[in-house]
Amino acid sequence: MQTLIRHPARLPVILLLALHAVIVIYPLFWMITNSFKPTEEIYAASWSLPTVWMVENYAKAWRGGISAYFLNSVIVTGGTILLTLAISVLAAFGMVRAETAGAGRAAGLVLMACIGGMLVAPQVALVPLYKMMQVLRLQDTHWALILTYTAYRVPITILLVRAVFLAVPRDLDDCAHIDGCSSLQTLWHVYLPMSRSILLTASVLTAYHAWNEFLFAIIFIDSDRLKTIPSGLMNFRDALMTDWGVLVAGLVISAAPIIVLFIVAQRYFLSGFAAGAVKG
Amino acid sequence: MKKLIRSVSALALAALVAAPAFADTELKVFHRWPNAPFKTYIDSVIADFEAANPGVKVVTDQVLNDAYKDKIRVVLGSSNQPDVFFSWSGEWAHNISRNGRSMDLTPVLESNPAWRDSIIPAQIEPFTRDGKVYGLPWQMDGKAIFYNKPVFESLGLSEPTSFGELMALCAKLKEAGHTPLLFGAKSAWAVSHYIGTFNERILPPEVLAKDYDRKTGEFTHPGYVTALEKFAELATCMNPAPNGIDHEAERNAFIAGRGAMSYLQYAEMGFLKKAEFPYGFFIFPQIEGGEGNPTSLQGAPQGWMISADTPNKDVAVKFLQHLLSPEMGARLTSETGIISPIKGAITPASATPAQLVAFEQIMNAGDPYLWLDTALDAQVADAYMKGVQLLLEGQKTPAEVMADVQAAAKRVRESL
Amino acid sequence: MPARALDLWLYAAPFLIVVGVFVFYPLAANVWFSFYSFSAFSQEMKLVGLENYRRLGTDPVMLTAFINVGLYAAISVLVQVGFGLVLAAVLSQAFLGRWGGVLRTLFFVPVVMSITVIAFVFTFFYDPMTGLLNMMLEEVGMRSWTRAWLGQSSTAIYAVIAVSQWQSVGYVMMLFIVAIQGIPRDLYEAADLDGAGPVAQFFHITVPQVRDMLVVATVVTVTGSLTVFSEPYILTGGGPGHSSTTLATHMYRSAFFRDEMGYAAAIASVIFVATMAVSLLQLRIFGKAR
Repeated sequence: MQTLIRHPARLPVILLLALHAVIVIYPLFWMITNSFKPTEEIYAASWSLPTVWMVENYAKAWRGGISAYFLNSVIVTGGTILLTLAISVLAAFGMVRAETAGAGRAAGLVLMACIGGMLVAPQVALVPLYKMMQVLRLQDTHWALILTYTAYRVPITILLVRAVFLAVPRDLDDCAHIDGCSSLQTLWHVYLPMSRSILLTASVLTAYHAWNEFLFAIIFIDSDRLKTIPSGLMNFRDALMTDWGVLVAGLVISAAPIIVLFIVAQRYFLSGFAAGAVKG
Repeated sequence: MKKLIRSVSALALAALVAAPAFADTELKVFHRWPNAPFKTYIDSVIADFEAANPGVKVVTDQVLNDAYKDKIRVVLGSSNQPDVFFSWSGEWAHNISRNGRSMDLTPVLESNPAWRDSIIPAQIEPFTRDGKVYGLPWQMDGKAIFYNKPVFESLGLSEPTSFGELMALCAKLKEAGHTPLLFGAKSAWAVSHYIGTFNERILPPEVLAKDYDRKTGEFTHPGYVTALEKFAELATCMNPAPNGIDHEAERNAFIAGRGAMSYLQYAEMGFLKKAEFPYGFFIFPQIEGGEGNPTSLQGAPQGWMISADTPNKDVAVKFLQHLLSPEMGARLTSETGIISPIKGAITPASATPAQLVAFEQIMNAGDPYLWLDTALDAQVADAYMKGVQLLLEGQKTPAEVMADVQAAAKRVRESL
Repeated sequence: MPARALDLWLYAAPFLIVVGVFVFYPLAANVWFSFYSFSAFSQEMKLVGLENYRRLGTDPVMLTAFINVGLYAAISVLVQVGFGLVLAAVLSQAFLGRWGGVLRTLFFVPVVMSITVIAFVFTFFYDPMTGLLNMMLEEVGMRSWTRAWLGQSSTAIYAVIAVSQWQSVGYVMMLFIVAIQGIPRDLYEAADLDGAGPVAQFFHITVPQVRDMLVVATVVTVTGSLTVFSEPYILTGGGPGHSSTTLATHMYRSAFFRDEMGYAAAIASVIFVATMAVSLLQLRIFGKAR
């Protein structure tokens, strides 16, 4: 308060931040309080605190399908991260070594493919991808999501990883060679340990996209038992049109893990968004 | 090139895709009831079926209504087709059979005459195309205006016999401070039920028959505009902003006593058990000057189809026989409120008095008039439903809506 | 050293296959499909040439969709890029201390939430009968302002856009925070000595220094608007009528509701050209700047 009196110019700044904080917090607060209410109470008094805290809403939501959606999201997100990292690391390694070995033109072609890949919006490929999933018999499997998510995340990930690989000193590379390391061993023993942080960043960014993707998730998956959270929730809502408390509890369960992950791994999110911003 | 890419990628992926584990026979069923009490009922019927047929495992998937209309297209075009799936009747069903996606059930019925004869024939008709049966009915239905009896009695109102009487009744309800007619138009199909009704009352049946057929539909008869004008007149009795309200919310509001009337399906009677007041219902009244059928009942059967490519044909047929038996029909009616089209399923033991009345109304209605959204080609239905949503807020005139419908119908005709 | 070049192709092979199969091939196939008429579940494909593209020009829904994504882009740039930059600048003020970090985290939370979750919550807020928004308006005596926000064609698209702003402003804010962290502190110290106030510093130091990020953020926001699908699909389904339709929802409905896969492919081509144009514009601006 005293500082405010000394710096009156800070008042509008604080007001602005407070107002925005309320706008952000209120819906979250609403979600949490209403997830403990029976339907009638949400209907009649959705702004007040629950009169009785119905913890069983969470148990019902979990059993009512959220647990399966959750597991599917974990599988799809995990699979996408692993595949994306593996493919990106290999390609970036190949590019860096080719560039330093004078095969820059070939590496340039791969770089073009990366930039080209980043320019394509997934929506544009929807109709052919749908047809392709039938031909490859991938429709209604987790692979349909993992492979497509990977394909649209790999280009940016390669660029991120490549930037770090370029900074690995050539001396180390040569030393490894002299010690008799094969090139794959060099990648494993020299390059990867030096790029842990960018790999974490890339994982977090990939997780963010895979966890929340909606369009492919509603089209490529038919079975309720294979659905990820964003598309499964649509079904969950329709089935619970009369049980809002359970529905909102399901929403909280779906949102919580990624929020926690973000708060824990904030640092990597931040550097990722800085580096990833070149996309567009 | 395309082939090469496909085979290369197929090879690459073969290693990745694990083979699914099968029980002896796995029957995939896809339907549109993720919600209680319907899902509960279907699951229990399946449990009975699995108990009676060891080695058979039934796997279900379900999405609601509008979502089902999208998803069934995706699934039927996919490598991952269900063996048995839910189907509306009319053009919606014909679209599927025309594309060779549903099995011709005629031979099955011929070899099972007892089963065939246990189903009310008029209810099979809307699944029939070119003399062949592609689906079987599971529920009979009709649309009626349900009303709150105590509210009607307190104002001395009785069931209207004409559109004019209905409007007069609305005026009285409004005066007394009630919302006369509840309507939730957010889901487009709810709009189509009203329009279908008005068209039936106002247009001569032969005009409708011609226009609802995708090969000959033109929608140029002036009666279509009149029908929409009459609908707009009725809309003055409705709650504000129907486009913001789901049909479920409309029904819940009626059950909560927040409106005097609601246009519901007989199949929804199960939900009305929760109402704390006695309710009545009447078929939409005749419209003065209309050239259509003055008493027809909008409402078509809904049922099941078997996929044309199913490897489990025998099990699928057996499953339908189980689902469409008098015993399961009686349970369907008593447990979910849906009226079964199986002879002998509707008895005072299985049905409430109100359901018995509804059953009589359906049986006496003659040929069922199909739900508009499933009777029309999807493009025409889309133009109609989207247009009427805008009509409800005064953004479009009846003539403008019909111009859109005519354009869609023309496009469909020309694409054939 | 040709061996190294061969190595490259081996290392890059998985990438080239995955991107080739799931990104570039579909892009080409999409153009091919757009010359045909076919439905999702039929095997038959009828060649119709340029008919689908001709129809695009006369389809009033396309016009609505373009207007809507235009609105989406304009409002998003204003709120996300404009307000996002202001938030970022304010949060970078030293006097906030630890609060700066806490608020930064808080403001980013909506970004990581699934759009389905957010859309459902806002559906409750917008509900005409029991929704919080109408209730609040009534409380403050603005009863005449209450309406079915999502159920009225005049307000539906704005109600949808508002939800996107709530979710995404934190994302753009974060981009700017990162950019601002890269500005040399002595620039501000020098300005302090010159007696420049915080507003003057914002316009004369912060804005020019984050110019690159301004371009990037604008491009990200505009391409996001051109391809927006989830928000309108979940909140309104594109309705009432077609009033909140976007390019992507129109494409989806054409493909999977109206049985017009070929037409949907043509709409996809339009989306591609539009997003491509914006991205190329970005490259051009960067090219000129360097």
